[in-house]
Amino acid sequence: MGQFIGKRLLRGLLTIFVTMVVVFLLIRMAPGDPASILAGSMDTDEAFVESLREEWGLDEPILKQFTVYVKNLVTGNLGYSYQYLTHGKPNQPVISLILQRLPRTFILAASVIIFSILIAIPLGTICAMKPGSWFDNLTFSIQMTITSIPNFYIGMILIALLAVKWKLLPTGGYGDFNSFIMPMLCLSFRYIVTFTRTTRTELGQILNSDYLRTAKAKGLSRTVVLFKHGLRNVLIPIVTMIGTRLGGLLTGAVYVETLFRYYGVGELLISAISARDYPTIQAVIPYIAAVFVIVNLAVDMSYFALDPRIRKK
Amino acid sequence: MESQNTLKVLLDVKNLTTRFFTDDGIVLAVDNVSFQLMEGEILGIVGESGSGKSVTSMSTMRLIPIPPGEITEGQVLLKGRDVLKCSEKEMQDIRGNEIAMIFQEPMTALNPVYTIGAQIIEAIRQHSKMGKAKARERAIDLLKLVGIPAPEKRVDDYPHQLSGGMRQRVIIAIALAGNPSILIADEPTTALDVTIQAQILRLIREIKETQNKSVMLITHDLGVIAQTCDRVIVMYGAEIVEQSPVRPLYKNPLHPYTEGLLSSIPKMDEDVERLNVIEGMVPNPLALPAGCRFCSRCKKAQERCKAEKPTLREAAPGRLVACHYPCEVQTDE
Amino acid sequence: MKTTKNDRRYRNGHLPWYRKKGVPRLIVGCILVLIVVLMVGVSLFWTPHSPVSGNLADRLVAPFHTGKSGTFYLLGTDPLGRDMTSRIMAGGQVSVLVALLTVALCALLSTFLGVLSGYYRGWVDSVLSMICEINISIPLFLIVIMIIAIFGSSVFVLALCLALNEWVSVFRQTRSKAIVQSNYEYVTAARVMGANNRKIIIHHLIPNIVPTTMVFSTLLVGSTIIAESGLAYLGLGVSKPFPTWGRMISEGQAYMNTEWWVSGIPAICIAILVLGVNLIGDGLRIIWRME
Repeated sequence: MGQFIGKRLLRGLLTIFVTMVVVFLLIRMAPGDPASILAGSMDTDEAFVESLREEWGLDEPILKQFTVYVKNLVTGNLGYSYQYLTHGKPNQPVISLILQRLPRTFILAASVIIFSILIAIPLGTICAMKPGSWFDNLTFSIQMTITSIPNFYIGMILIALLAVKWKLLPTGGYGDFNSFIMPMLCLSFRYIVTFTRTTRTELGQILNSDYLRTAKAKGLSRTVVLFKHGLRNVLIPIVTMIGTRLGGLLTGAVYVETLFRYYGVGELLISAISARDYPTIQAVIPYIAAVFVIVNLAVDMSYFALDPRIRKK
Repeated sequence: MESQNTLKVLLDVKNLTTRFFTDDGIVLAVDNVSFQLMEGEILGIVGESGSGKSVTSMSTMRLIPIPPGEITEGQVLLKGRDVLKCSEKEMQDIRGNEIAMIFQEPMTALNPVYTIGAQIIEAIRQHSKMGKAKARERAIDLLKLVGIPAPEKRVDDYPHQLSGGMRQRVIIAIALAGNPSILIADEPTTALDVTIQAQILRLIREIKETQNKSVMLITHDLGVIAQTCDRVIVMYGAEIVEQSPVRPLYKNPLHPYTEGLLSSIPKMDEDVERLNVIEGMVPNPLALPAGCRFCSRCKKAQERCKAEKPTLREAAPGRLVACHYPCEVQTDE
Repeated sequence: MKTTKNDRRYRNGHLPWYRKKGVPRLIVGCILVLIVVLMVGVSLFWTPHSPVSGNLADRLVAPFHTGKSGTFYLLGTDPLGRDMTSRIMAGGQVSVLVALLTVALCALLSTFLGVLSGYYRGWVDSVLSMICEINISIPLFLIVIMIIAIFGSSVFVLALCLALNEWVSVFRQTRSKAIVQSNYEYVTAARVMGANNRKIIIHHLIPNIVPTTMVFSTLLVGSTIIAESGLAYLGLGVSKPFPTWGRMISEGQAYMNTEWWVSGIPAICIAILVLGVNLIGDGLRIIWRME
């Protein structure tokens, strides 16, 4: 078990490192000096550009710059965001922005996963038990339709109906529970589809498996066969699915947070990119990667609880 | 032979027909099959793969997947009660308690996420109101009975920690857990090494003797039948073509197919240049011929065989055959 | 024999070809894709009006209505009085082009690397597998957004980025298929007969891997189109003035409740195309029995 986790941890660290290198190089490959681009977008003078260059150490050799970048990331000394200005001077430390926004996105993502699974497992189970029935076909059609419509358009429909027309919920923002509902709902659609499909195919295979036949031949009731032998085993592929879908979840969060003005880390990144706010960009992406690695590790660990074949190897 | 007629009929299968509605067409897997299982006997069902022997056994326990399968006709009378008409609730009492099954694939027939002990205990407690501790004791006893060494330790193992032969023993223990009167063993040795095969067959015979069970043994191996069974049913193309006590069948097969099967077994005591094989292929289950299904591979086939389907008839006491031109019956006397 | 309701689907014991699993999906999918592709193809030569300039007098005309200038608009006009029909037709060009380029890149890359990895194994396989592992645990999409934000987004950059984001899913399939195929007897037989690696790969492996590549690449087309429209929505799509469906949706956001067609029609077009492609992919997958 220790070896397994060690291996995953090593892979995670490698992932974060690769992300950092890529982000670092991309910013330096950008046409034009980041400092002057930034200054240009802010109408400041040459002295400010100079001070920026110095702050970022853009005159130093590239390797030195990278070590400084890594050191700053580790110590949390990430400089100031250039999007938020008071009297023409940046005053928002990037680290406080990240610490404020990361939990919001994390809560959104976690609720989406939990909500989707709660809906998807019963749906997928009904479909798997009666493949080819009208319910199965209807679910398939709805799934196909949802995957065909861009997620942000579904979000736009939600706003138009729930917020503007019926005035049930606020159009966006962050704060109370009401403004949380639509982002979560919108992002959940895709995951409900994904998890329903996983449950249906995996449970379908398990229901035809030899060990399920053994369970049935023991004379167990349908409910026990389904829950104890069927769904218990479906959890393994579902957890795998959560692991592989984390990236997509974050992608979705970028759209949803922008659309609903839910100020999470995705929205932070998009606004930073459009404002060419390099200090924020080069800090946010590795931090997101780190959260990724941690969640992936948690997913890997849950295999130990679920699958004895891994536990005792 | 005489004595068998006086034995009690435990399972009486009448005109059983099972079909599968697949993408390629309707597959007739079991066609109008009738047979009886007597108390205390081991009945062998032999046939090539695709002959319908496994589906026959699964249909008697109503374990075929629906859809695509469907039992379209027939009766399965267990001690006089029609299993096919039972509710799902009544089936639960029959499965494991009256009829239990030993499966072909020991590698996949156990649930990988539970210990073997948990899986046996589950079967025990399903059919008796036993406490957990007592059920565990019984599970260990069962493991001992099926010949698993150090059962007190093994009971907490997961299936993936056991070898194929050991897993097959566990499956037998599960089958015995509900103390059923009938055991159906569906190719219990096919996936195992030859030496393990012999052990498992011996175990099944022992259990039949000591626990007083009736056994239905499905196999494609006539050698296994010879070692183990009292009576044998030969299936071909979803039908029964011959039914006979074991000894006379080996000495004097009546159906040309059985004859072909027997001559394709290598014999220790004879020098043969080449093994006989039955030329040709099993008929396409999607398009079964109108006449005799063995007709295209049969050396004795006549015009009549192509047109007219032979029915199963008694050729000698206790011996049934479905052939227009069967081999002659030799009498021992 | 008793007839059950199952029997009615069959004719003389056989399932008619159009009832076989996967075939209906394939047919419907082909029809949907054909409609969109024809529409977009025609726009290369002809559109009813200009897709980029409009008549301000005819702003926000509803579909099937005639504007103040007396012109009839099949799908209405947008807030600048531009003909929606023409914009929809022309706007599909980017989606279709980006999708085709991306998927072609993915297919080529994953077939080539899949064969390399699956046939030769060794260090190539280890390195590629590690890249795969990292790939799923990295928020690659963020990097894609960054690349586009920094380098701007031409059709080619867009396709390259999306391919980078998606090739792994096809690669995994082609790799495992290549491993399975390399272990078959016929490959050994070919080697015994004196065929060299190149010959084995070209004559034996690739033809057997192509169906896998086709199915899983087709399944990617849909998500690529959606991703492209999403980037356009975020303002990271192919630059103006040429319309794209994704940007048309975002331009219509303010008119959702009053003039639904401004964003609704491009969304429907995306949905038809994606649905069609997904149905084709799904149909092929079922017919070729892949999971």
